[in-house]
Amino acid sequence: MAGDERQQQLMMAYVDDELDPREREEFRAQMAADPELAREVTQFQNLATMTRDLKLKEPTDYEWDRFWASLFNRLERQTGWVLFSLGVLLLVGYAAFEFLSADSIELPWKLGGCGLFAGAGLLFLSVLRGRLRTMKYDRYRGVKR
Amino acid sequence: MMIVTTNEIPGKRIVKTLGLVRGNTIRCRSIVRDITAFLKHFVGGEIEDYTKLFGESREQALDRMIEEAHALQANAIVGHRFASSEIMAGAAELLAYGTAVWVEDL
Repeated sequence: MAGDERQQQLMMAYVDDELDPREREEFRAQMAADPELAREVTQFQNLATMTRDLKLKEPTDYEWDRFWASLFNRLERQTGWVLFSLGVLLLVGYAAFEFLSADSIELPWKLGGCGLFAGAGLLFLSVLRGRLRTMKYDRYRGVKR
Repeated sequence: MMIVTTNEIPGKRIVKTLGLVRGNTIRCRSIVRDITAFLKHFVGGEIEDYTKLFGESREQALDRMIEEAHALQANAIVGHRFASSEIMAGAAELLAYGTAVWVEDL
């Protein structure tokens, strides 16, 4: 097994012309003795040549436009949502603080308000947990249109 | 599974009618998407989030209908239709239905 691995490494290095002269000669001798190995090396050499000759296609102007539009769109939306969420949290927090610290509101109202929001929060968490659990198996999330 | 909207399939003959098959679903997007979609009202254009929502519902309803047809050991569904209704705003309810049949080549 270790010998196979060593030979694979030597083969890759030979194809990429990374062997020193002594190793190269040694590997050539191995190839001469093993036609199967020589055939495999030729296949890899062909593959390496093909990979080197591959030219990446330049994106068109339309594709670049789409890329930048999508990037800006995402940045704008994410920034917008972060600001919006922070604003909501701040307002809700401040409203809760005012509600709980106001002397003019009697204790039963405060308790009722707390129960209402705690219950709604708990229900939301339960729905969220259920959704996160099913999301992993939702085959339809990838549907675009 | 061959699914057609016609009552017959050209080149095939219905050997056995296995009954009604249907699949339905109601899906919604998150409130975040709903707010984005609402903002789209001001500027116009396609509401991609709702297009996606509708696509998800359509595929799920279709798959459920096909599952029923498989359970009846059908190899085709004829007279296939979609129906939609509104249970709640921002949710897409779709019902896919048709008649499960066994068809053979003419």
